[in-house]
Amino acid sequence: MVRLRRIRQLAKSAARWLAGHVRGVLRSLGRGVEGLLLFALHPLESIGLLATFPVLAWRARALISEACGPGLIILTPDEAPLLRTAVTGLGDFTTSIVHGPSVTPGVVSNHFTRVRERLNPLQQALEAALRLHALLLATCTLLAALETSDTTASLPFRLVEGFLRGLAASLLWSLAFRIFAWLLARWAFARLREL
Amino acid sequence: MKVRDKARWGKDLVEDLLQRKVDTIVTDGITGRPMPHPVTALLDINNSYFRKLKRLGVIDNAAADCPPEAHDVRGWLMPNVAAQQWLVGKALEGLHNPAVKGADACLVQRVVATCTALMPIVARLEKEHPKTFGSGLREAEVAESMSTAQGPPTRMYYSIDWSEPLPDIELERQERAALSKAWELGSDTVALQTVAMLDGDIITRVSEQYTGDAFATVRQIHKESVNLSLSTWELLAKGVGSIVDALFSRK
Repeated sequence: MVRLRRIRQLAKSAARWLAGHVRGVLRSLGRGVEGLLLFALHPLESIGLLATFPVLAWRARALISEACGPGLIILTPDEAPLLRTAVTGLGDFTTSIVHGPSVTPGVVSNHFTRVRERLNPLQQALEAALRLHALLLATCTLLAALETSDTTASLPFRLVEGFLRGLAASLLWSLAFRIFAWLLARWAFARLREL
Repeated sequence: MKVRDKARWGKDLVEDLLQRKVDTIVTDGITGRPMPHPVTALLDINNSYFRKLKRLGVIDNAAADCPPEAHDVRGWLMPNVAAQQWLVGKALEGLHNPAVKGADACLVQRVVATCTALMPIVARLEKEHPKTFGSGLREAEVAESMSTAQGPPTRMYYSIDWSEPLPDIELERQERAALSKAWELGSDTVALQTVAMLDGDIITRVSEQYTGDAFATVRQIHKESVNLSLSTWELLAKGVGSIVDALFSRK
């Protein structure tokens, strides 16, 4: 009786663990679809993001290191600055101003454009990762769906088979992406902690 | 990384994201340099607080009551706990001074808060690098004063040996962020400050002297900073959320 209860408890825990991962895979699949939609709506921007993904990821990493280290400093103008924004930690902003007639709306808008440009790699790297995931997911699904085993089968059968193959491939890809994200997150945690 | 370390680090990271702070400072001059070596940064912080408290009349006779281990032969405050304790003591006295009010009182309060927050970090560093943080006497200086006609020194001073390179100092991410923030603010008056919390509360404080039309540009700059900070926060929260989700979600 006790053993049976234990087995039931174990089965429950295993089912919960599995359900958690299935939900994670489905979320990852959802993100892939979101990325595909973005890809369809902005194809040129997406291609550009994918082409520069390694550079963007590197820049985002450097940006976080700088902010968590001595602070990310943006000055306007470079010589004899009138405005200085320092981003310290994970996003405390300190802006210093030399108040006077030289601080015109033009200088201010120029300064914040520069700040946005400096912080841009963060957003772009995330966007690029999302679209890369979507592209690989779509390729994987399409390849699996087109790879039908029986060419003599009826069209409805082939359609259903193609759909099921595609679904299986996309789920497998999402699972692989989740494992990759988990490993990457572990690595990022270890690196960031060293900063 | 151990599970406990990972959880602690994750907690620190989430705590960082729970509250966002945007400060706008009006200052006389800006330098382009980032935060220097922690020892130099602490020297800057302590001495800028010292000068400010002196200017506000909170410190009137430093030579008389500043403990010898808190300053060097030229009267510079050392980057150590003794100097910070002395500053806190003086600032607390200053808070009871009716002449210190408004923005000046805020600044004196900041001296207390910052020094208190930095003290555990400095205490640890002082323990790890006693020579650098002024816990060791500079022998040459003592020998020099002993060889003069005035005889042995009546007071022994502590000093940093600048002829040697400063040691590599390891700071945790949050310690570095605290030091960096203190160095950035220095002893300048914060004109506007916004604190945004996770529950959606956003509190903005405006220093009374910056409420007039003449400072409309300063307020505009602050507004831009807040917008930028919030959009960056959203982005970071999304990224950190995905990481935390990938690392910790089990259900």
